[in-house]
Amino acid sequence: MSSPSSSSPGGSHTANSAERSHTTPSPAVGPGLSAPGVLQPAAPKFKLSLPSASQPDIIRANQKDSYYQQILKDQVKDAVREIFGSRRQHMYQTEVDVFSDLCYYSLTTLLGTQTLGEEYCDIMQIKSSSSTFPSLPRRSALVFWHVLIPYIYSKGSQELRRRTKPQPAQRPHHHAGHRLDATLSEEQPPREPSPALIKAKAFIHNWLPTLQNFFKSHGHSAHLAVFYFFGAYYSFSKRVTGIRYIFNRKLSPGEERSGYEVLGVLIVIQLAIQFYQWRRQLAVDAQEKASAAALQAGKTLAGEAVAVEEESEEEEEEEDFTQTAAEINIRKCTLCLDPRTNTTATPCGHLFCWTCIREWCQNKPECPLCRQHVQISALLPIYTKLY
Amino acid sequence: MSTAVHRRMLKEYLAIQKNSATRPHLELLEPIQEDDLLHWQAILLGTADSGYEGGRFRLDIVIPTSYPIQPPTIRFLTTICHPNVHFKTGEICLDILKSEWTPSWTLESVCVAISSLLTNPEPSSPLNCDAANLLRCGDMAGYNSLVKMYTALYAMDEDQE
Ligand SMILES: [Zn+2]
Ligand SMILES: [Zn+2]
Repeated sequence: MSSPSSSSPGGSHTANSAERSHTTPSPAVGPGLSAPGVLQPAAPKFKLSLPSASQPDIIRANQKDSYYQQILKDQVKDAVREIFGSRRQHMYQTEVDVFSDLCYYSLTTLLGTQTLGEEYCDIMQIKSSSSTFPSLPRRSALVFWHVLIPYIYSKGSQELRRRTKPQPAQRPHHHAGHRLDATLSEEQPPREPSPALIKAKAFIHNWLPTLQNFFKSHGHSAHLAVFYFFGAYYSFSKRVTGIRYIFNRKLSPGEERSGYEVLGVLIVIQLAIQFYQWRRQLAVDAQEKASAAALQAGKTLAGEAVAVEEESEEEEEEEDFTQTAAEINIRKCTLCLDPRTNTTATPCGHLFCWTCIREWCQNKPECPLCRQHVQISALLPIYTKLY
Repeated sequence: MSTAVHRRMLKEYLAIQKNSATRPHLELLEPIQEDDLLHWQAILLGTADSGYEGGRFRLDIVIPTSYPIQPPTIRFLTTICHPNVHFKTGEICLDILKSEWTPSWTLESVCVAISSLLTNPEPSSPLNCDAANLLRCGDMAGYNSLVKMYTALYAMDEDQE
């Protein structure tokens, strides 16, 4: 191969590469059906009539992919930190992650090869409507939906929530300098948003998180259930772009893959129960609202309730004072002689207020009660209510 | 003005008033002026089995604003003959008032410690060399009579003040 290429470099090179793509698969792609479209501009148009991939293989491929994506993410992160410093790396972490995912899928799916996970499980993507290899635009759409849409979605919803945040009425005045004050006040009437707009904004602001949560928990569950039943699309992006998986090898007779229908049934049951609970909660809320309204209607009644509440609080306080001396001593910090606040334990097990013991240990790193050495870093705040 | 020290001194004040009956050798422990919780006085009573019997020893107690991180400064106002107390200035050599201080001590417990120092002197770290030398030589008779004499001279005198 070396002698002809040295004699006539241009011609032999193209011939060689074309030949190679036909005979031997490039090493990065692996055995079997592979690398259509890398060097040949026209993707193969023949129908691929191999068995469609079963759910376990699709899931395994996904897991494998996310494993390699994580490795790539970590390495990109390290590189970014080395180059731009850790502060900027932290600031742009999500963007860096998206970039590394984009790299991963650009180098695999977009180029028309299998991802590492797909290769590992011997599955490949096809356009489900025509059972042909997905075209480049379709693959680009897949990568776009898979990587960029989630990012755009989260950023967009954050931005939307920020923008629709109810603003204090006089905010423009606070921001305006003295020079601009006159012009601004003239401008203000047209800038004042209509009440309907304010209402819409408030509505979006209040309901957006709920809606997002709903999609995140229930929408995703439903999608997963459908996948467990029918086994075509594991991710939203594949469903949207209509790309599904087939095995790129012949299954041996005994190799019938079992599906995940049981899991699908479980998810459906879970969703049904959640829906039922939600309905019941709605009913309870409505009842509470009604009773609260009734209470508010009689103002005197409400006033009485508050008075009663206050009284009971006072009683509680009195009880505090009549606690036995022993009990008070147990709760007392020996440094400030008050009941402990933010109880903190030394390694030797003695309890103090956080501020008290920290101040003392800065002065002298030993326990005030038993004189054991105490490193400030060894002080242990206790979040459990002890008594 | 740190409020932490005032809070704590108020707590100690209330506690001292509450269990005044439980400390036989402490006749008095109180702020000199009601509105200044950083300057106290105390009167120790000489224990019955010692040369200090019948004596009343006045202490001057100054609380630093960094109390209880820093120990109080305590000295005898009454002249006392003791190996660990300076005869002229009344300065006390007691480890818990210096390097061994911990904020778990209170004025009350410190006064009790000083009271027990009277009956258990520590001649190895003397401020009064004459008294310490007598003790180190084992001349208990000489030591006791010296203590008795000074107690009679100064500590009982104060009674008439
Ligand atoms: Zn404390
Ligand atoms: Zn301890």
